[in-house]
Amino acid sequence: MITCKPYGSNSLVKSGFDRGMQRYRCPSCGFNFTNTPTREDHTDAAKPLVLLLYSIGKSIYHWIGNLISGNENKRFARELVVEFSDGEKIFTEGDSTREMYIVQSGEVQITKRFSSGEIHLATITKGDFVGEMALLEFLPRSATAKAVGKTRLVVLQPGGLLLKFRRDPTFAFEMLQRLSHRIRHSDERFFDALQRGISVDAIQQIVGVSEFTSFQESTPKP
Amino acid sequence: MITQIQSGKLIVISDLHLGSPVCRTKRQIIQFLNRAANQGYELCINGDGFEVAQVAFQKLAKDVPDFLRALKVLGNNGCNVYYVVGNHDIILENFLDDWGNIKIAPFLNVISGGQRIRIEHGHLYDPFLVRYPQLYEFLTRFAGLLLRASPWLYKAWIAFQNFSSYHRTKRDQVIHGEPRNFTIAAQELAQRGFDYIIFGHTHHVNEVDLGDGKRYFNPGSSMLDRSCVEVVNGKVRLLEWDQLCVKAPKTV
Repeated sequence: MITCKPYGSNSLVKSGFDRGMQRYRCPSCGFNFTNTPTREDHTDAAKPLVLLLYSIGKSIYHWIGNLISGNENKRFARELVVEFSDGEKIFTEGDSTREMYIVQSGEVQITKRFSSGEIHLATITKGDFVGEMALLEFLPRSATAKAVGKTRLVVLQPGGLLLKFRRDPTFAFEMLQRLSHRIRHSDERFFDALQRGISVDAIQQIVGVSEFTSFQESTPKP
Repeated sequence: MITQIQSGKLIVISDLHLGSPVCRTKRQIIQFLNRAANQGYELCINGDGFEVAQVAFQKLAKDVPDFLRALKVLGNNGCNVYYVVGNHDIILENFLDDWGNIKIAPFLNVISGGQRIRIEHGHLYDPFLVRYPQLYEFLTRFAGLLLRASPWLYKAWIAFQNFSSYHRTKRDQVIHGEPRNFTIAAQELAQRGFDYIIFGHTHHVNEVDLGDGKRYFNPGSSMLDRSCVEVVNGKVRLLEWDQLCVKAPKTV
């Protein structure tokens, strides 16, 4: 039995349709309404069921969310970590490998071959990086890297470098700062050698062939 | 520009927001700095030291001189003061340089007792700031107007953040109230050779174990908690201002 809720009257007249449902009007009070089920119409048993379905739905939503976003983060954040024992070669001069390495623990010794033998260029310590020239320029390795003691390295592949910059923008800053420092340092050494009247061959020995070549290429010829 | 330093004894505080209507601890901050100076600590202000985004310069000019005097005392004691730029004082990036005993830096890599420590404000890892920088700036300025009307809105906002992240904090190992992105960023930095990572920005104090003995700290904001991170010869710990400033007992 449909009744008018404000007045309680049963004598109702039909008053058109609202979204496909019959509307009624109470002649006594003029109240217009649609006979839709209200909350009071749900049984007590239905309420826990609704809550249960809501919780299950929400759990599934979170589970799918974790599956997508959580795994994505893990997948992208997981860079390859490799371990080298003392004296083991990480890469050799002339290699065509492209990886760049960040030293997580231990040390890496960089050496370069010359006609007169091998010279020690630098020792890379924890937090520093090595092999960025091959990754940025896609050229063969210009020096050899060896592990000093037990060394752990994070490997950055060419495809992951930009993603790494996006996740860790200060890494890009540090890398640029380091490269800028190296250019300034090699320029200083070069001009110092020139001032001391050392021959070009000798400068090549001091500065290193690759750095000297790149300097010559970037210097406009008269 | 300085980004690499060595320090044996360093104190890191964050998010002072001097000049903000919410910042009512100026006197305590100055007292804290004076005590730190007496104990020979170097100081690092990890971003948002000055509230440049939300308040007028006149208000800032009223609040800052005493603070700068306290920094000068540190300088006179031979201690360096490092200022890492945050998002509310990002204009200071124009002054990234060595200003006597105050050194302004975008971030700091500290070597202390053979440990590598990264100190960074952390706004670069705020997902909302990165996605919508202009909207973020607009909302920051708008929030400044609201806070002038009622500083209690700030505490309501922090309470809301704590409430909304309740389930997330229980599920993931993150600092209560802050997005997971900060812990992920800290893990990223830990992976490339940092032993301790110190961020600010979120105003939520806590520390998180990142595994392999590496830890992530957030000293929070002086507007809510009086916490700082102490670095002494490679040992890093989170403590209250009072714990640092305990006076030595008088000897008879």
